[in-house]
Amino acid sequence: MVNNDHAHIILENVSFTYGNMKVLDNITIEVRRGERVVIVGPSGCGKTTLLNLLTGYLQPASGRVKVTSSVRTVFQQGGLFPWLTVAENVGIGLRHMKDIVRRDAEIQDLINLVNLKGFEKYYPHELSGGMKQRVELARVLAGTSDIIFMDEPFSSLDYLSRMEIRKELIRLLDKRPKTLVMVTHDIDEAVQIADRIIILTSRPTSVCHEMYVKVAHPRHNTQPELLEVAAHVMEKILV
Amino acid sequence: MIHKNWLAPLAILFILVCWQVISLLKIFPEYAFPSPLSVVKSFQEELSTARLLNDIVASLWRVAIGFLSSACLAIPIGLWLGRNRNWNTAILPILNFFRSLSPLAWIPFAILWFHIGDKPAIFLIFLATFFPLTLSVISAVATIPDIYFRVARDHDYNGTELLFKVTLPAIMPQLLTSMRICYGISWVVIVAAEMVGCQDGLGYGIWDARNGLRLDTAVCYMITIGTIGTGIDKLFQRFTKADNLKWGYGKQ
Repeated sequence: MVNNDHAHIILENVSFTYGNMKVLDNITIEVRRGERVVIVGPSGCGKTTLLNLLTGYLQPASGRVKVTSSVRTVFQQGGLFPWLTVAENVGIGLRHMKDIVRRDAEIQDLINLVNLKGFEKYYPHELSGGMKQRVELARVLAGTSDIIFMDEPFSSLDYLSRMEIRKELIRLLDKRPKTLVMVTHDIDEAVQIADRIIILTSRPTSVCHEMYVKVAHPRHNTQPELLEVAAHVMEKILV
Repeated sequence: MIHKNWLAPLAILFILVCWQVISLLKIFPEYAFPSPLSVVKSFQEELSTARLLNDIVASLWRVAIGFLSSACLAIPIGLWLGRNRNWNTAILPILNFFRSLSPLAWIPFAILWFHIGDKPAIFLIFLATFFPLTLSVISAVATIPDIYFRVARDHDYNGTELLFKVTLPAIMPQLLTSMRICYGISWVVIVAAEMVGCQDGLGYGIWDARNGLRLDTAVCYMITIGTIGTGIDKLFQRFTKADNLKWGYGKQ
């Protein structure tokens, strides 16, 4: 039973079934404001389903989901609107701002923040995979929502871009603090980003372990402490 | 090496030369196979009486009205059916049935219902384009990646904003291609539609030339139809070069 209603995100005894198949079994997770939680688990264990429950895209069969603030999501497939420019894509979350000058300044700030100055008028199809993900980051940072969900956001990038953008994400979250919940199958990614790692079992999925990563940023994936955490996570997943 | 800008004009020149050679060989009698020169003469004739111009305007008008009214109905219906699975399941077989009927099969009805003048031709253009356009809008909407709607939902897009800022832009490239194809269809159908029940128009012009055994005039009308059709297609093609549409067409 979760008693802390001050938590930013609460999943309490949540179960979910697809037809007759039980996918999620009695999951309880609580995320505090500003915390960066990464959920890892074997492929097909229902990580995305879990995130879909958090966003309200799916409803649980039983249990309670409570998200106390507005949310932005970065999806695995990339969700930039191809008919909008970089600046327009970043601006969709700010489109209700009345003061156009301030809105444009905010958009420009975000674009500068993700190092895409000069690409404001480019369309997504004119950018590399890494650049597109930077635009996505700028877009989720825009506006007043203070929770970010990420579903394997960097899985389509090559190794170097992935390393780069993880650092970028940490840097951006330091500048604009938000609560982060990310699901990934990439253990390196989890240990580099997370304050806390939640490990799921395979189906029917439940939380099998969670651990705090108390290593200061910037983290390098060759640091012995991180390697140790990664080994520990791996061990838990493979059990 | 020939510059690529010259390739198409050279191909046209080649066709003209072949045409001239065949007519000089007299395989067919002059009245059944007019030479390029006689066609040029009949062009002059038609232009001097302003009949050709009048026919062009009449046909363009009918096609425009028929095509626009069909687009005005087909696009909203397609958008609606594309997002409503049950209605779509119910209506799709009917749309497919009518789509496979040649619009020319409707000619007797068109004449009985609308008599003569613009209306039967406009009605036939409407029928020729409405079904394929609706079906292609349905398929365009149904294949919009779900991710766009999820992003839209994340950013509180609703109602008309969702329609005009997400759904329509997402189908725009496919919609333009379909409209381009359907406009082509209507330009083909107008000729047949005007052969009955009309007193002017490019189709009537050809029919009238045939009745007077003036195939040179018929060819002159055919060239006009082909040229205008190509020109309008070029116009549609220009839209596809718009910056916010290029994403939908890949490399051109």
